[in-house]
Amino acid sequence: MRLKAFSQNNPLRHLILSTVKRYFWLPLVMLLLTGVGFLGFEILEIQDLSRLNSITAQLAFRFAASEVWELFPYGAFLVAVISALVMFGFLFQKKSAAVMLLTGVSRLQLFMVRYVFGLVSVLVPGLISFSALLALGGSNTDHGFPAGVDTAILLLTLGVTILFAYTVAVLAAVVCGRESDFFGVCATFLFGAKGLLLFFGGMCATFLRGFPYPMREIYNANNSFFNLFDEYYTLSADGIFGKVLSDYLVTSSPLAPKGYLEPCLLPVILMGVVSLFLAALGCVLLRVRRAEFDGKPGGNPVLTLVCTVILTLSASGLALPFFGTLEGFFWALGVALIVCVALWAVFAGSLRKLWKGLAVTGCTLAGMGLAALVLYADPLGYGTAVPAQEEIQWVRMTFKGDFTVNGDHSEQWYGDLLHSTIVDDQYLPLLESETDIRKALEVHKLLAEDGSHWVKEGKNYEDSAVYADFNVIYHMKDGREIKRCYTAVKLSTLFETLRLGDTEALRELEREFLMHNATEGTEFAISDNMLSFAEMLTLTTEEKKELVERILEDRGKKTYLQRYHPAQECLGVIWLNYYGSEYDDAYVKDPVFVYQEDLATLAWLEEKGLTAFFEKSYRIQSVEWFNRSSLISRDYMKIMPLDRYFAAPYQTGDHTIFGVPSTTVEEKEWESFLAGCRLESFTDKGERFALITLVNKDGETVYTVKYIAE
Amino acid sequence: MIRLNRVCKSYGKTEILKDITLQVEDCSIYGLIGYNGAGKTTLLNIVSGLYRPTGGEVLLDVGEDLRDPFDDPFVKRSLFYVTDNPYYFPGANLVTMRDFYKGFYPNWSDNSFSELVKLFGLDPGKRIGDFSKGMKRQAAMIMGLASRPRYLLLDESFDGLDPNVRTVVSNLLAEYIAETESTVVAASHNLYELENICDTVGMLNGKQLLYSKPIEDVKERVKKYRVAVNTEKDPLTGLSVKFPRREGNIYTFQSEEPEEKLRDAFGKAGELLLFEAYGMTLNEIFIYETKEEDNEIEGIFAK
Repeated sequence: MRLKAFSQNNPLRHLILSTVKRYFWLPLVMLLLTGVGFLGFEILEIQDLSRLNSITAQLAFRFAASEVWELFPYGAFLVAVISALVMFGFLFQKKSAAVMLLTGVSRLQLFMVRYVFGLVSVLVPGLISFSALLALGGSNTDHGFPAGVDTAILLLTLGVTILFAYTVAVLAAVVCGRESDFFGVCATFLFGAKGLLLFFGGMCATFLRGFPYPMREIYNANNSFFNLFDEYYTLSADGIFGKVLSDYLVTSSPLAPKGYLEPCLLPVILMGVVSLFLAALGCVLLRVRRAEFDGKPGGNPVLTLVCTVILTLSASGLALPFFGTLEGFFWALGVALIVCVALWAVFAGSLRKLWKGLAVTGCTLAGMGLAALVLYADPLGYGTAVPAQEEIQWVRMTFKGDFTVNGDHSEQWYGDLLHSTIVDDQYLPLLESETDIRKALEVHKLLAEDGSHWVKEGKNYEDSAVYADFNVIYHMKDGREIKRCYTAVKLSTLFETLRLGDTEALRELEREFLMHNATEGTEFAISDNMLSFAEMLTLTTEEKKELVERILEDRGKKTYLQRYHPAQECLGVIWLNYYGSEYDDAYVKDPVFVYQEDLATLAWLEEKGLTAFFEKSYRIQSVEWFNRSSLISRDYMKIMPLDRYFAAPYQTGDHTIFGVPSTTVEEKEWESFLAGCRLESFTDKGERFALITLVNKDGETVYTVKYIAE
Repeated sequence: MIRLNRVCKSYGKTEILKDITLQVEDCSIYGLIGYNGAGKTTLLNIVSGLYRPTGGEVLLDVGEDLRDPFDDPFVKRSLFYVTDNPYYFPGANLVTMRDFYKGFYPNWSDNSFSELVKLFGLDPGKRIGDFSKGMKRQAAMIMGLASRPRYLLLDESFDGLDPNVRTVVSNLLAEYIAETESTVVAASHNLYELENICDTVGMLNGKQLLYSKPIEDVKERVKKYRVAVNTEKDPLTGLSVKFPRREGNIYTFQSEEPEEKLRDAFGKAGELLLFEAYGMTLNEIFIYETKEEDNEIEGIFAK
């Protein structure tokens, strides 16, 4: 029996068939756009990578194939907008709208047919292209194709990303009267998410740290305003896709045990539900749409105003981190002004109304400036208020910043056991003793009263651009909680002043942590003083516990400065390698630096015949700067596939294929440079890395590569 | 039957239509006339269900009951709206458009389509985008007639057509009504064609419907006169006339006053030498209804 709705002479059936017949080219074009677009990007990548010494075409191709993955959300938005324009562009002309709205079906049916066809046209090619890229990536025999479930989740996320982007674009088409309005709204949506995020991050940073401010790190800011937008961004299609992609790449790491990660599908499902809700809203809006405004400019002045304000904020917010200086701030204002005035002109459809755009943008910028001024002046003393000691029950101090990211990157991880204990929520120290609380208050006062000291002071290399967001949480005796966040605090200054390692609470935690990790699941390794080699140790659990006892014995005798001063020469490093970090998704390598005075540790190593490694005592012969390819620098996500494909975290020579030689470091800077290498200057985000040539007393030459932010 | 009851339409604060009440009977051609911007297109948009009126109600009889045309698929399938600026898909030809429309109209006739294409002499395989303005209108008319709707709405559909084609279209409409018992509503300010085929005329003046009457009544109501009277007095005093002119003893004017009353008035004024009454064209009636006095165009181009 045939359904009546799809009988031969049914208008709905006819609409479906005529839509498919008329727009059969759309999915093909989308396939071309996604396929060729990504392929084009890959070619550019390969070209860029091929400039590097010693990289083979095959390696470049493999890397480029993985590179393109992260571009997909943006590609999805682009094709979604095009598809929405094709399917609902009829609304932008009075005469075409009249024909389509008067076809013998309801507006609901018209919406559904066009919506579904447009979605399929963009979804299927997107998934095909992406699957092809996955297959390309998976063809790497070093690693193999990722697990099926992970891939399915990734594809599902991609599908939801496309669904969301397309639905928003359709909604924009239904709301807007003409093409220019539609593009304006789409641009605002796409541009606004990150722009608003950065803008509010910047405002909060200004509030807490002063102005001007090194904007590069505001993305890591952590405070109430920012958290709100952080959550918002996390739930955005771009955010979700980035997270799932990241999980996917990590999960498929050859080091990760099977089933180690539990995929978090909730945001993906939520985004899917939101998309369906938006689709329903679009359908309702089309049902009530007033055809008299089809193709007319300026149908919605409120929409224009909102878009202009959002774009003003976004343009300035987006521009700031790229420039990062006071001069850049004015550049940002200029960019915001131009973008938004142009937008208004497009919306209004008349150059004569430019003054309105100028007025709205000017007012928004003036409002921003005023808000920044008020926050900077801090008339209520919010940023400098420190509670009285007698009212405090306990204090918790945490900091997040570069090292949380670096923690995922094995060799580039700069930190120490102390840092990881603080970063990981499970080991956050509660400072409860009177001495510890007083110490915390002293640090907080220093930070609040002389914040600029923390940011500006620094030396070349060893105090390089490594910042963290420092959080202080007071739990008061009356049950209240006071939270303060200080963004972009320079870590070296913070550690030297804070000396959290000297607090009773942390010493105990450190002990617990080390003992906790002296188990079967932790692999111990040992390396020379330049971290150029690592050798896995075969130790029983008992031996691991013994070694940790010795380490703790030595550590207990020293202060923070003695143990962690970067300039102090160490003999070698013991590594504790295990799974688990703040995000539970990384293979962490905690270094324990061993110095001459660590007698207990050295005695134990000697007893086991393991000191030979330390006796190598490498010294620097030369340091050469390499420039990294612009396409793979500064980007965490790009490092992940790099590690995947080349699987060479210890094979330092392989890293040089990603750089071209630049300058030589002068010998007088080596000591400072060395200190930077050892402690907090390691980062994967610099555009440069150093190739260090080392030589030991036997004349043996080795090379090591360090990624160091300047 | 189309019934409008106190229909109003505003765009923001601008009122376009106010309290429009009219009824279009089945199997008739209704001529909607009015000057540019009077609201004819808006009224057709409302009748077609494209626009929703700000106030009042619009009802169309589609067999079962009277229905509001707004987004009613059943009404849409019974109605074809030939807009003043017809739309065709990019790159489409007549066959493409036929294929599109025929699935939505249950009474679509391929035979009528072929005959009409032949009648107008259009190339069905040629891109409609390459057609002249008049040919595009003919194409729209072909689609409208071949779909054989119960209600055919025409907005300025005679514009751009040459005199021969206008006559053909007029005849086609008359034939269409006769064959299909459909209803046609034609809005225009070009009234020559409507005059011969309309059963009823509605005149929009400003925001309101001035009247809606059978065309005979309209033509009967107002006439133009040519009167010669030998008198020194002004014989038009006290009479309701428009566009009066005097050349010697001869007066010409238009008036709704009864003929007898005018004759008496002139007779009383002096010796009545000539009294002639003429029927007016729809165009003249339109001008009569919508203008208060003759345009003064003398001197516009004087140096």
